[in-house]
Amino acid sequence: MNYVFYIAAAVAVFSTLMAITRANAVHALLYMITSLLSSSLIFFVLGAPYIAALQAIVYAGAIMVLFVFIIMMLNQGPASTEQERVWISGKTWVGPTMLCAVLLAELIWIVRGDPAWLPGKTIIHPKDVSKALYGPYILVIELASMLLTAGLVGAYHLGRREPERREGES
Amino acid sequence: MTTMNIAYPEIIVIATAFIVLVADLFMTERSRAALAPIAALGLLVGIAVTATLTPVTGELLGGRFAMDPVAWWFKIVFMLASLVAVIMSMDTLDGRARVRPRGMGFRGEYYWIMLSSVVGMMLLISARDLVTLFVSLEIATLPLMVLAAWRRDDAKSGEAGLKYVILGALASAFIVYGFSILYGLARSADLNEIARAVATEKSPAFLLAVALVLAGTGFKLTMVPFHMWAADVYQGAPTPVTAYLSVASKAAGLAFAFQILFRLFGDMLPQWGALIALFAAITMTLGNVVAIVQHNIKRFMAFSAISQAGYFLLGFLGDASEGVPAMIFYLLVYVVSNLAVFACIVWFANETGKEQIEDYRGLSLTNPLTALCMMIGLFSLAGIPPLSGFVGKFFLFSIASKAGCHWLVAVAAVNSTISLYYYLRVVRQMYIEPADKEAQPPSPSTSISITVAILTIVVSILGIVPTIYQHIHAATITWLASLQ
Amino acid sequence: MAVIPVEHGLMLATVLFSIGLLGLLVRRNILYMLMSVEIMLNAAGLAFIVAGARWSQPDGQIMFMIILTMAAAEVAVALALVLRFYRQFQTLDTDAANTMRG
Repeated sequence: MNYVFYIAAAVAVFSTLMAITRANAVHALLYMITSLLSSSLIFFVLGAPYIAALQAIVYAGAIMVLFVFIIMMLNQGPASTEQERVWISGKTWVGPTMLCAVLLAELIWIVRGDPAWLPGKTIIHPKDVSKALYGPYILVIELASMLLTAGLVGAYHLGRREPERREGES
Repeated sequence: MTTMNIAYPEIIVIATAFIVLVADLFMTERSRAALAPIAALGLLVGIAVTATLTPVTGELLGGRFAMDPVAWWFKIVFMLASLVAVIMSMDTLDGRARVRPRGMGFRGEYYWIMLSSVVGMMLLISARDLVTLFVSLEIATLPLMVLAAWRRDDAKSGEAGLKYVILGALASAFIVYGFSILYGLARSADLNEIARAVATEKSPAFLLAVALVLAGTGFKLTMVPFHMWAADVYQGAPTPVTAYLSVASKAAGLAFAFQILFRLFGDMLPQWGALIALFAAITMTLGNVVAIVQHNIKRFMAFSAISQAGYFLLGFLGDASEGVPAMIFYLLVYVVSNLAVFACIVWFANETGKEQIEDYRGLSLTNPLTALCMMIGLFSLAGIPPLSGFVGKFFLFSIASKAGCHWLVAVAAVNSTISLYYYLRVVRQMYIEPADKEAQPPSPSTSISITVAILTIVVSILGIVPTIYQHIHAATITWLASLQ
Repeated sequence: MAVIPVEHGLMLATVLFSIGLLGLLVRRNILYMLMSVEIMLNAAGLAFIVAGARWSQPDGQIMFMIILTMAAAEVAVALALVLRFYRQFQTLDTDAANTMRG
């Protein structure tokens, strides 16, 4: 059953190639999300179900949504309405939809099939990951929180519009 | 040994960082001027605790965090550099500068970001596995990217930040991809175990990993051809940040290079001598030649810093028991000299808002003491005896000579002469060119004047006091023994 | 049941990494460059998962989570800068970002 991996890999490579060659940012993002979802499936096949879930939630979900927000914020104006009309039309969605359909078919096939086919010995359960994470790697968790706070404070400072003149700052 | 006290320096700096961030919320705009002294005090306490730390060697968390004599020196340098950077930022952020930059935002956030990068750097040299190493590298560099873009209303600052973010993320991707191959080959994320596992490895995958990790390291060290980000970032960043970047990111790059080249690939390092020599020659020559034609003082200092990175590379040649102390000593010298020069640049930019080399004309008439200090700092960078820069360069050159790279010593000597020429360009503006009649003489600032004075004294005596080098040398021997 | 060979997993990671690098070098739009960097980081994470699966250790997955964290923090900062860049230059073309010359 290795071909689950190879189909997902083909989808990942194709959608990544499409993502970097699109002229329209939203098209590129759709392909990018497809690519990340296919890597998520690959993680599942490789015996990392926890990371597969994280990939779908955080990478394809949260981080890509950030990109979508930015694109939406940058496209304010009458010219973008015309573009919006083009985006809604079906043509944009055909490619990513078909690729996602392939992934979905694979996923359904995995879920309803006998789980014994999975490369059993190499599955690393979320429990093992958590044990390592809160055992020897406890420092890393603390540091990751620090990194996120740095990103948060930085993004907050940099993204804010310059406020009106305040006292002490001219 | 599992004594908690080896982690005290990091804990103190982290605590200071959070105190500053939270205190900013509850303070009025006027009382926020107290934030910089709080940050500086925290760093001072950190330095004091580190200095009195006994024993210096130890490890925590199953060996994932380790303190050793070399890490001790790096931590002192990191905290010292950020302490001076905090003091330099005070005038700019508290509005005491005559030319006030806009869009600097809240001071608590600024100091928080700066302190968090110090924490990352301190952990970088203490990390003993790939994961901790990578995450501390990111904590060290991400705040630097934010700081480079700190001035919200300045297009140049934003451009600098954007370039730094994209190229920095590219370097991180290289490093982490190389790490993944190393982990795949070695079955462990522990640096020492990877070093043992790959000691005899010759597979193409391993060579790819080495190339990727070294490219990333070269980027952090501003080694040619991975230097292109430095000039724009240094020029665009706010001036106190440029000062911090020029010393802290260089020191962090050297710490990372130590972890990679000595701990991870220590067994292979002697075979790479020719390659390192080549990169060292290219880096110092290109940095020097391009620095000659610069007009912006910050961009000029950027290329000067690139050429200094070439000198650092000399220390990786030959015997590590001599190379390591020479590099640490030169790092100390470089940090102090560069900060002395930058303190003058920050003060000048605060008072006049100008940053062209030509703007410094006649400074010796209006502010003779500042001009003298700046000249001493520049001469130390150029390596003129008896200043400390000469002693540091002498150690590095003698290592290259002992390693048999006589051509490289010749290249380095020629480069030192070229660098003397362009450092003299600034001195000539200050001492020979007449001052503008209508220009207002810049007034001195208390905090920066004291900083400049102390730094200049240190620059002058660091090379004459032999105990420091002996101390570093003794520290290295225990460190090298711990590598195996 | 056969297990996926490690080489194939690494090959996929390498291909994705190269595509990302290609995108970064070819595209001149900042958003695409950022997306390319994301592709590269994700490929490196994939390589870590493959390596972790090879050794049946959780370390690879932990490294992936750290890459995820780093990517999130970096994207947040980068996108804030992209917004600023767009306000200042009214474009996302990096060729506009050449205000500094020596």
